Amino acid sequence: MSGVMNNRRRLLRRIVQLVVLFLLISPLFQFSFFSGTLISGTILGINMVDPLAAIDFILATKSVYLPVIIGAVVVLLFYFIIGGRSFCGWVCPMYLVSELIAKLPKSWRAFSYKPNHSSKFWLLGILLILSVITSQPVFEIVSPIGIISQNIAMGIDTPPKNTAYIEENIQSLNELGIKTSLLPNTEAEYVVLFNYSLWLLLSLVLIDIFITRGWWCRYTCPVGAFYTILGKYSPLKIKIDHDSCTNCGDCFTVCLPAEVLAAPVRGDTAWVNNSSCTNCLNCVDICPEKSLKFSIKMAKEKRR
Amino acid sequence: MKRREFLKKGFALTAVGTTAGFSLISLLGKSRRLYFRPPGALAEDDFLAACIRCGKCIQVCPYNSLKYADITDGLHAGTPYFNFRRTPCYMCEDIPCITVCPTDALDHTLTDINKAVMGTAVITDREACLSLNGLRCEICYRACPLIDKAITLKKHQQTITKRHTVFEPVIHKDVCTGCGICENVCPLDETAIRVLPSERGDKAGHYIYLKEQV
Repeated sequence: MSGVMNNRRRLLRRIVQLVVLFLLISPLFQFSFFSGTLISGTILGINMVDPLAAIDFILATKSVYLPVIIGAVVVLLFYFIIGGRSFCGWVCPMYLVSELIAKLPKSWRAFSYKPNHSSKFWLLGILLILSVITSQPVFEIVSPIGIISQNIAMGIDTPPKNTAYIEENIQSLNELGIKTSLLPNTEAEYVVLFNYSLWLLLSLVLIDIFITRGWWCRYTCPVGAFYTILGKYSPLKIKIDHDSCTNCGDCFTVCLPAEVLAAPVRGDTAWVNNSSCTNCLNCVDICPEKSLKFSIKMAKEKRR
Repeated sequence: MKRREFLKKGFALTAVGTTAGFSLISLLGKSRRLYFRPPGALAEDDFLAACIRCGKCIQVCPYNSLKYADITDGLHAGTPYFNFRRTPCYMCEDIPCITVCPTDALDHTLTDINKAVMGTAVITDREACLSLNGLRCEICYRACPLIDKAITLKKHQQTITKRHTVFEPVIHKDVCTGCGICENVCPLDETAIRVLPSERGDKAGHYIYLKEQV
């Protein structure tokens, strides 16, 4: 690697990723600004639904329920503006795991298998069809994003939260002369719950470590595939300045879905048009010539 | 070097195979358990279609009564359910679990918790039930949030001494919400009163016929 690396953006992104993790566990500490998981969460009273979960819901129930649509549209608009797979790069805990695994030595890989880049779109299609056939939101059952956020948010068995309510209940029962020792103990301890669905997560992590780096995030994740499609026409994209670019290749070393950089660095386009780009801005950070920039792509520039 | 490569491959395959295999087997294995859903839940098949496994109801439950089904519960994974013997539904008046549900898996039109139907309590072990044995237990009756409505006491003569009274708890299906408090408080090691799906125990035609005869 050449040049002085500027880690500002990566640091900012790490902070955002940690804030997301904190939001997920915040209800444990009696904070009320966020509740829920990454499938559906409520932040400051705004209800959000994962758009893929909303589509699965519509396909499974074969009906439309307005609050789901509204919740999904809020999320859709947000990620359309800031670039579809920004969700992956900035929010998703699985991507953080994937990034950390990418730092492990390459010699750990026992096999070198590279799946096709279109496999995630095929999987997305198959899962959507399965949702229609089985009348169940199939992806939500096995979604590692759901599993990881459920385990972060509810992996700890907390004492009952609404103690005032319980005390009121106990008091009214006392007045009736009813034994109260059978009511929940308000001084219960925090207990970590083991959940077997973590094995599913572990299997993905092990495939990532031993077989294909970024196997889940790059090649398989249906949520990533969905946001890739959504981000196709997002206005915010990475721009490359061909005049200052020296083709040093530093950007490839820090990019998880490195295939997105191939066309712009070769000089075919001025923009990173492949929406598999997660807008993680690692390439902007590392570029010694500052050739890469995060900027707004206008409609008239679409051709290039 | 060759042996090292072999060991590496073997280890990787074993690790990936065990975890992935376990996940797949448990996902596709059929679980025969009964699942008791939060108040206002749709019929089981509709519920499984509409529930997006977000876990909000589980998180909001003030008593931590709701738990989420594990991957070992097969395709139910991620859905909320009650284990009444551990923690029953204490029937919050504002029903927070319904309020937070982003979909209509929990019926948002249900505003009165007393009208919820999560199941119906049934005395499953009449031989063990202390009250039916003539003892003054009646804990389920006392703990019932709809006391004298969902569970009433029917008095009849005890057959052993012929002098004392048996206070038999009788559950009224049309009132019982299936909150599971009776199942939770039953003092026996194996509870004698259990919540069962409310579809069971329907009065059959002959029962009504008998009633008309009298």
